[in-house]
Amino acid sequence: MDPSVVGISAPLLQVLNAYPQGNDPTQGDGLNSIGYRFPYTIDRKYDTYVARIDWNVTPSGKHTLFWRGNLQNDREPTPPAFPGQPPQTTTLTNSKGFAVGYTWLITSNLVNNARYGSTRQGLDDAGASNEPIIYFSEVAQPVSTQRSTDVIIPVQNVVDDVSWTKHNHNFAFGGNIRFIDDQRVSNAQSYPDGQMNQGWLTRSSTIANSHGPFDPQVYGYPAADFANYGNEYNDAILNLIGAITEGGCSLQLPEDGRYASRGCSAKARLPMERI
Amino acid sequence: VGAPLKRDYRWNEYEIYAQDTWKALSNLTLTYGLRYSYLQAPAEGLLIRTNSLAVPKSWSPDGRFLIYAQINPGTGADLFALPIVDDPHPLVLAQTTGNEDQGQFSPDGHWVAYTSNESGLSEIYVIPFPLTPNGGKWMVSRGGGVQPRWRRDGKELFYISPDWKMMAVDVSTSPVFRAGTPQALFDTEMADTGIRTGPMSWDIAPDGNRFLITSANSTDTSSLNVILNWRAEQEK
Repeated sequence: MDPSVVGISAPLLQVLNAYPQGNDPTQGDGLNSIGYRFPYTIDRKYDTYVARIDWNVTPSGKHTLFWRGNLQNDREPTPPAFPGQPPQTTTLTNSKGFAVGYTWLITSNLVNNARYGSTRQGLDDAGASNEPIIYFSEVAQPVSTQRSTDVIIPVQNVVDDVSWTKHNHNFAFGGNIRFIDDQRVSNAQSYPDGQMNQGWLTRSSTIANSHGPFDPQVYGYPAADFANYGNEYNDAILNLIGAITEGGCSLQLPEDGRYASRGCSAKARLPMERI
Repeated sequence: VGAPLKRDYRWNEYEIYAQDTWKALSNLTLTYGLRYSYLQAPAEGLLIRTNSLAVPKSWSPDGRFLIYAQINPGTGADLFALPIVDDPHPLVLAQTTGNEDQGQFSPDGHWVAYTSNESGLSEIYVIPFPLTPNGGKWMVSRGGGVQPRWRRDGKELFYISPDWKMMAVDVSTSPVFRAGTPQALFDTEMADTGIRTGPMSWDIAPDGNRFLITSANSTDTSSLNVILNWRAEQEK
């Protein structure tokens, strides 16, 4: 079965053995894989603070001012990959904003409304993964693979509307200006990864029925059930020997004084790299 | 690996409108008007806005800092390190009445080599990064030097002497910075651009054994051919 004496990867076998015993037979292929369900507790927090002030500057109501403020402080963790692990991601939201307005009754039929608003959307999607990843094929990854993205979007908004009533007409005109700044930081493309993807195998993207290495029928063993379990057989072999058939990375290169993200990938034939 | 990628997009949106709500009949109201919107396309903002020329020089190995040179009144060209990820306020690296330029991060990112003529002659200096109050400053060259570069392992510094020789200096950074005696390696025959302290005119291969030099000597230089519209030729 193993003419090149690749053998089972000891480090990967250690990782595979650390998976908990499955308990959900409705998942998996019924032979090599099975589902696993477990209880967990996640503590979510949603705090929102709202304040408003209204001021009639003149008793007649000719000049009025208002201020509105909103502060949000949310924490939303997601379930862990497996028991005892931290949340796969934790979304922190601290968006905030305020608006002020001034209404001026210039005459009984002419009104001016001026507004200024400033919001700052703040969102931190903090993933638990910050290192290169080798992905197992078609099984749940043993730890979180979620990266982090941090977004801050300040927006300033200036609005003015004039309303003028004359006979049967109500004329309105105005303007709206928005200054938007979208700042984001992410390590989603900061680490290389490797995948055990059977799609990049030589011999028609399969091991089972490939008439090559690890195909049992070549070595006098019963043939794998290619029609019903070909993919499952291939995944199991890839995971055991640690055959990385696809690698990906993203290079950050200075370009014109700024960062540019360049994608790259290596798709190779088995066995490309073994861990 | 691991350096986060930062993007910063800015744009403005402008809208004006005029409309009329006309109560034409007691049971008929018409509203009509015009609205004009100008929505800018999002574009990445400037890293830094300066009142004078600012030129990028070197990235830190982790991608978190960018060294740039900026010309300032009274102090000439000075060197700054701009944090890319966190605080966008630049850090002063070297600022004297002379001109500081060509800042180069060491491979481990803990040192910066640069050119300064604060002594009256352009020399190569090394400072720690980030700067500390008593961090020190070492002159590495002797008798003049420009255009420093580090070897990939950080144990040797190269620079160009006033007579266009490639110079090499052994350096060690632990426990303190030490520099050996500069040794001339070879004549570079470097093209004299007239701006010896401006853009770098040479680089070194990762293995430290080969140099790429902008040379005025075109003898025995192989040509570079560019094929245009090659796909059409291929399809013939």
